[in-house]
Amino acid sequence: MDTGVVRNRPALIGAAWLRHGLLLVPLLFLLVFFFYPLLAVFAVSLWPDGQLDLSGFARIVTSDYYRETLWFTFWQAAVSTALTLALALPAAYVFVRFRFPGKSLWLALATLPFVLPTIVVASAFSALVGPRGLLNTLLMSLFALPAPPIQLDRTLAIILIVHVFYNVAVALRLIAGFWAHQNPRIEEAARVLGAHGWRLWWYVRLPLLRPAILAAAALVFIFTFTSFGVVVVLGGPRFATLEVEVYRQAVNLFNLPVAAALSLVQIVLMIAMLVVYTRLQKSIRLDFSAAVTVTQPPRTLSERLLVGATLTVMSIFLFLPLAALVMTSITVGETGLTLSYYAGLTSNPRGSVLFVPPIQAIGNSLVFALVTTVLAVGFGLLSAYLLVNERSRLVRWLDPLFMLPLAVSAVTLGFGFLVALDEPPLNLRSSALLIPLAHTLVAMPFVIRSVLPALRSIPPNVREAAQVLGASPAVVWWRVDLPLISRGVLVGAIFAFTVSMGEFGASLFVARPDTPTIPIAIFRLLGQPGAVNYGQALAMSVILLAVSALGFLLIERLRTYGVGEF
Amino acid sequence: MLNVAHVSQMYEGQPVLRDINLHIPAGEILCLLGPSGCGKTTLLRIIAGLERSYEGDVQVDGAGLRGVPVHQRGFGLMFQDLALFPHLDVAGNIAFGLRMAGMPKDEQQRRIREVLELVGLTGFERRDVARLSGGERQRVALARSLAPNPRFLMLDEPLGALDAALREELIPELRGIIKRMGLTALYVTHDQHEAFVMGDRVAVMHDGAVEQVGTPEALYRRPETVFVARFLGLNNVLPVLKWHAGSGQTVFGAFPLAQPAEALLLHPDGVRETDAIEAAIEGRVERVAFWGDAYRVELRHSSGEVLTFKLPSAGRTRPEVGAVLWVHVAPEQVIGLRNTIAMPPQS
Repeated sequence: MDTGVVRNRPALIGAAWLRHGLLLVPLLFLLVFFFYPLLAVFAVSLWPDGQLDLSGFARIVTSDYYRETLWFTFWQAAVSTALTLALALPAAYVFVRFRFPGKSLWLALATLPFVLPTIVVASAFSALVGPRGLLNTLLMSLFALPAPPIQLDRTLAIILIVHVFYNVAVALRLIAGFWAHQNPRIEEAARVLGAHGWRLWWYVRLPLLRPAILAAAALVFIFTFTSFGVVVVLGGPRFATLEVEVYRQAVNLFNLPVAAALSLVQIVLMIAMLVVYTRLQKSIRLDFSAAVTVTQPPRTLSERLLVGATLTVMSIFLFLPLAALVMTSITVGETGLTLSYYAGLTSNPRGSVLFVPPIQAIGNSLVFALVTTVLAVGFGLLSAYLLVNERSRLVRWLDPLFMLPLAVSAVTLGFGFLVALDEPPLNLRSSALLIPLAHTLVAMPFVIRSVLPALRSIPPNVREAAQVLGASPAVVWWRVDLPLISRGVLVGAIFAFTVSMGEFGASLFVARPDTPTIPIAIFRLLGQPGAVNYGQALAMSVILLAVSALGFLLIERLRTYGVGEF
Repeated sequence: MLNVAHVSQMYEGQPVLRDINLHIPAGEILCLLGPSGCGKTTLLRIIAGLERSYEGDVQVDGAGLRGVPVHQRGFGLMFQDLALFPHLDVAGNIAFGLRMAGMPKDEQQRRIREVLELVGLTGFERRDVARLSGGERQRVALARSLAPNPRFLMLDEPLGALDAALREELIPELRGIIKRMGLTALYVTHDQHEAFVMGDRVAVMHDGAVEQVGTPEALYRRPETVFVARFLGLNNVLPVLKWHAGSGQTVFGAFPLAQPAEALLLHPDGVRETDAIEAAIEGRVERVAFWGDAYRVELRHSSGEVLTFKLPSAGRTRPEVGAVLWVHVAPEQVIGLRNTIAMPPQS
């Protein structure tokens, strides 16, 4: 045991044994609800009949079908990443170089898509360019067309477009943030030495931004490599990433060994990619010199055109789908405006795919989200205390362990729950707790990352001062720690709530048919014919959009620099 | 060679530069000296072409530079924070300007070796710039700006980040290199000592205007304004209350002054201790500090004002606090000054 850890760790409560016992709770939680299911997945693929047998695994991994799925997963991620960067780079230039009204608001709004639940984004694009969507309806009525002219549904194009929509802001923020901290004199030095135009980009800007571009590319690649909801909802049966294939094999075909083998490959690839990303990300943290680029208002005509074009493209691309979602939810299938789809959420027609009125899905989601918030904040807080000592070797081992649930995709997590938690020793098959437990695993890293910086920045002598002044360890925590980390805790709680409300992949595995969450309900309704189902799906998407946007706004307002950065 | 004519700049309604006129003949090092915020860096950036909005004209050999973009000016510029390219090694940094000029590879190599030798970094080609010491980075930055043979070299507080000892060592060396290459240069600094060692001439800037241009000796011996005198550490400046027939009246009495002036300087070069009969100023010793070769004595005059004099320490004992001291000022060392400071010259 590293005694340094114990001595330096702030006291959470009085008795030492109780203190250490409490800190073990989140570890235990991870062990039972994360590592055990994961091991179960491993077991299904590598120990099919109680003994090690790699042949099944080998057969699956070497099959043509598998190779095609893997290949598709790779290249769609690569193309999505390239497209995202191609859009983010010029936008980053505009945001770093120019000053224009509402700039910080623009940047914040551009980040909104990233926090939206997949299912909402899928609905939004369906509402914009889908066969029953805004654009097709408009074009059909304008030109009296018999069929929808825009045929993007179930195409590769729509998958790529949505991937770019999702990730462009992440890349933009990463690159622009790094760029703004570059010393502007470096570029001036290059200009004095004769660099200009493309040579300035090629010999100076791009090499300087290389770490940020690589990190952004790695991150976007990871996100699109594990894309699930977008492909399932918008891609249709023709397209399958590894994630989607895991889901289909496990749930539709009940072919557990194949699903497990795919999961295993997925986990290994993800961890490898995350190691790469962490390395890259470290290199972009190094160079935070004091100099900050001086922005100027656009002056020449071409500069103004550039800024104008960037903002126009951004607003069309980022906000049109969301606007279309809201519009279509109150117009689809009707001649005028209607709130009938919202009103219809309370009824339960015979033969509904949901078995319950849609409104109940909202209730379910709220309850699950609240339970998730309590669990994630509780465990996350304890974990943060466990991880507070940065210099401890133990912590350097534990820290990535607590981030692993983010690395292992939600689908794999749900699949693990399905395999592990429906039989003794831990039979939770019929328990309503499964969903909040899965959500807690996904949300906990966010809570930890929100609280930890605040916790680490409390100078130890502040606590010592309180103790010398007569405060007991419990009082020190209440009067010193809590006020200092409260903002981080609040941000973490909102993160947990929002993540739970929108979580799709894991829920799809573990939700029982009669207790759907909002995303599950939307997914099922979208899969059904008829304007009523479609309208209700969109109406629920709008509600979820509002919840996510509100959570996002609160987080943006609350977080100080360095809190909740990933 | 370089000519700055009537250059002015406004920033957000405030004048940053007011009608700057400077001429730097070929082969001269001119130092721009002034406190931070006086506009000296802005002027340098205008000359470099990095600032586009200004009035007036900058010319090289009679040709106006307006409309000539930065990358076509063929100047060298060494930044205060050096701005070395972090993604390139030492040779890569130095080669940058050569590559932009389209110099063939083998010729580049030769030139890199040449300038590295010139700055005393022979063999440093493949070093990573992030791993160099402060002084070495300075030399690389200098080598980078020298390599393309700039027709005009600008240096913006290039030694600002170094500690005093290293700076002391590098100033004459830097001057030596620039002189050896026969370059015309503009050197910006806020350090009077640095400016005096580095510059053939020094231009003192204050509040966006050039107050005085001259050789270091001229500036020190005959400052023209209250600001210049104070900035050079010549602190015995008295406001002239009234001027009449070659005599300026101050709170310390009358001093010979050929021309009317707003203030006068009692130059330390013309000050010596004396007896009660010859004395121009009588005061009580308020504070004494031993500065090695001299005692720095603060004298309080009966009017309540305080003047500071340095008295040679050789062969005398420490002046006693409270004692009365008499000081004589040579008439030719009473210098009339203009006042450009918004506040009264003596508070």
